[in-house]
Amino acid sequence: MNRRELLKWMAISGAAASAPGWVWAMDASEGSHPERLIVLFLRGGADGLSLCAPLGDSAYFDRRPALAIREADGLPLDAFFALHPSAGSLKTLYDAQELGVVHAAGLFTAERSHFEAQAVMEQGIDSLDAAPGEGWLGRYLASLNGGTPLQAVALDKAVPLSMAGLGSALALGAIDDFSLALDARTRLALADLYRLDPLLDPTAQAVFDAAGALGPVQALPIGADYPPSPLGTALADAARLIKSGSGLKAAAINTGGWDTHESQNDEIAGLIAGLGDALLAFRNDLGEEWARTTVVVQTEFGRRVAENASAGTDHGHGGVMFLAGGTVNGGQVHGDWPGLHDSALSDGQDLTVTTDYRQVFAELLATRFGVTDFAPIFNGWQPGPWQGLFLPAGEAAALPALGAPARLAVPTEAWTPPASLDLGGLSLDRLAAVRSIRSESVR
Amino acid sequence: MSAATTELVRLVDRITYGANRGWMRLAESMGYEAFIDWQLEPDRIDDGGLESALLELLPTLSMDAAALARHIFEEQNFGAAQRDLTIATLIRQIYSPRQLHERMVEFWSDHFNVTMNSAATGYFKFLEDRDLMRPLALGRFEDLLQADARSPAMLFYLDNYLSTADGPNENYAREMLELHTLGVDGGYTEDDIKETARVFTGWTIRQPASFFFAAGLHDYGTKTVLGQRFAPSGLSEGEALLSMIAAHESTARHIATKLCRRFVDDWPEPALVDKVAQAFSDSDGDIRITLKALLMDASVRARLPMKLKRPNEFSAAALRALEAELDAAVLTSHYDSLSAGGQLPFTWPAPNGYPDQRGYWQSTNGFLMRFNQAARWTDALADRSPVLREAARFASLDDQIDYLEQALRPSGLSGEARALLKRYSRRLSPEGRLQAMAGWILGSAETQWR
Repeated sequence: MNRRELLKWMAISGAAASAPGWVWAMDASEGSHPERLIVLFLRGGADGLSLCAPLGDSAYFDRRPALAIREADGLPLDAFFALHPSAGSLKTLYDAQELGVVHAAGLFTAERSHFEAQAVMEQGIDSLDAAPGEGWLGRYLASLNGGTPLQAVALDKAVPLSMAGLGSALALGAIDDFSLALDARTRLALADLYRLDPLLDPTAQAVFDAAGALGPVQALPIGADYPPSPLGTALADAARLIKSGSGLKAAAINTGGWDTHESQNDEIAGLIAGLGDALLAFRNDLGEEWARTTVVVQTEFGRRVAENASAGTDHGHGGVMFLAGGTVNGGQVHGDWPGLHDSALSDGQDLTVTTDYRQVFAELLATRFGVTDFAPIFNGWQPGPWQGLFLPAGEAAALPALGAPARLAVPTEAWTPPASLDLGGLSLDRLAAVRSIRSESVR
Repeated sequence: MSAATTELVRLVDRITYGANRGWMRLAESMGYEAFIDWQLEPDRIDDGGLESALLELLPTLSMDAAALARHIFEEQNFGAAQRDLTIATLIRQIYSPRQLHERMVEFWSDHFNVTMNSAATGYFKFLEDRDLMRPLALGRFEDLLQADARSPAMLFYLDNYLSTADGPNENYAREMLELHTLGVDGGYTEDDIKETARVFTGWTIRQPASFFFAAGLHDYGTKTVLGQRFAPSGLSEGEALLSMIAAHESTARHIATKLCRRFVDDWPEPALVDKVAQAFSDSDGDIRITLKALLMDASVRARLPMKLKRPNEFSAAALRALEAELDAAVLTSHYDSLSAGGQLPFTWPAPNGYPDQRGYWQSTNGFLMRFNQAARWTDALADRSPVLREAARFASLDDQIDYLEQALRPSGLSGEARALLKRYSRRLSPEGRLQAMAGWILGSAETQWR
């Protein structure tokens, strides 16, 4: 959507009496073929040794008698590594050279608490000793000038720590649910009432701005066959933000369930299929925009090399990262493999980290976003030599058509709360007559 | 407003789900300390028949574990436990006179988080809420901790029910030390986690829902946790370990910090945390004594409302301020607030429980919900709210604002807010004006703090 179309849409919908300043900024961003980054965080510590199994490492089978991916089942990437059998869609992307793997990636300093490890990574540091309190992505975005209200969004209920420090980052939940049901007078009254409170005012104004700006995004239909999951919805929303020319620069998406202390093989197959299918749908949905879009998939740590007795794995150290997009130097497994023999393990038990997670983000920012100074973004840390993870900006791979995945029927007994409360004919009359409810004295 | 009234409003806003006219009358008739003492003894508070009416409404609430299992798994009512526990929780938080008890049930439910994400977790959590959290919420911390370690909900959620000598599962051991007791900087090591996991091997579930110590699966070697040697003795190793950890100074500090954070301030003053931790240690983790020390502290009494209401506090407080009469519309609307705000009971997906800091809840998504709900309630509840019904008696704008302030903002409206209400409502008819202003007050910035 270009500026003229947007102004027309705003006139029809009465979204604003006059165009706000950021509408004029859209032309500039549309002219320069903007790059976008989607940070997809697998919460819970995803098992890199199942996502991308080191079949060429004999110690892998020794330490995972029940859980190792069998050679006959894995989807081979090269002579050494294979993807999980349910990663068919990831394999499709890999074969199209649009997915790269960085193995043995993570925090150099081991941190095995979910919450601490996530906080360290999202702040762009290596340990909590000198935590800046802001997110690395927030710091980077705050250094850019201009931008629309929709430049930095979390497709979730809250803004993650990675974007903290950027006052304008929005939490949109699911985009179709983000609409303001207020008359004009109420909107103005609330806006003024919030000006009295400097702490809350930016958030209130952002609600009004975002509700106005999302109109054209909500008007776009979902453009591909996404899995019916929160992750599918979030990526479908990210695609609509990109395709509508909203000025999106970075989106944060979370997906959970990776803390597989037990029955790991039952749990993880559906998670991996869901991840791959959603990414492939996203790619097919984006069309030519894929050439300027990068998805970085990260997790707070990998899992213990040795399985536990519950057919699961406990918290470990090194993990895996995936890079997907038309920007990626894909079809290969990057990073040095440290090995799983005893002397190579971190603390004698976990995969050693050979690639600092920040190295991946730094190389992306350097190659595609033109960043040259990393100290302010990563709290003084400087990256090492680039590993050739991304194609130089301006080079876009030609996009072949990729088939949609065959739907895996993953058995699950998961329960999620219903969208609305079904009282199923319960009569509350007797309750309503209770003395305490009738706000009489309760003593 | 007198200083005493100001203190009282803050107290009521802190330890209930929101001050309203009736609760302010009660608090004023009792005074600050007596109100706390009254709320600290929930068993002695006449609940006006609420619990027995709930039992009548929701037959599952009085089923034993076996009957409930039949109801859910054999008769295939897979969402029944989740639905009924959610309904009961929402009603109690808004309407129960045992308000501080409900607040502490919520506090411990966050602290010992169990996520309802399957028929099984819904079933276990339902029983745990009824048989453990609610009875123990104002008791001794160690009793809660010991009961939680044996709770099928927790054993299942953090996988300890599978932990055996051959391959201990570390999940519960780690989260118990990191989240339930010592805190992440509480002084334990990775080895302490491994040793703790060995101590709890064999702690498992007997169907349908009771604790069982499987001696054959227990690791009968010697363990050392925090420098303390635990000789092999079976079940009593875990009991002794929990006892030791419940009495640890890091645990006192961790619980004190979380209590201060919940009731007073996201970043509580170190002096206050010290004082509350001391009360916790001196009383062997007596939650009543600890809370009393916190609430009676002079700095707490003088502290401005520093807490951004979480979605459930925002929604319950608004419905309480409107004195909404319970019916399906009120209940489903409260559910909608929590669903849109991302805080439905017992569905936070990680073991650390719902966040309790402004940085998380102050989001565009969260405030969109607040704006929409405030406008919806004053529309939808016009006939069900005595506050909105009685307001028709006042015709002049000033009288209307005074009246709404007393009902919806017992702590007072700022002069600036009052001026804005006047400015925006001047051209509206008296009836429409009142409803509109009520919505603006409930959605306003001032109302978001407690």
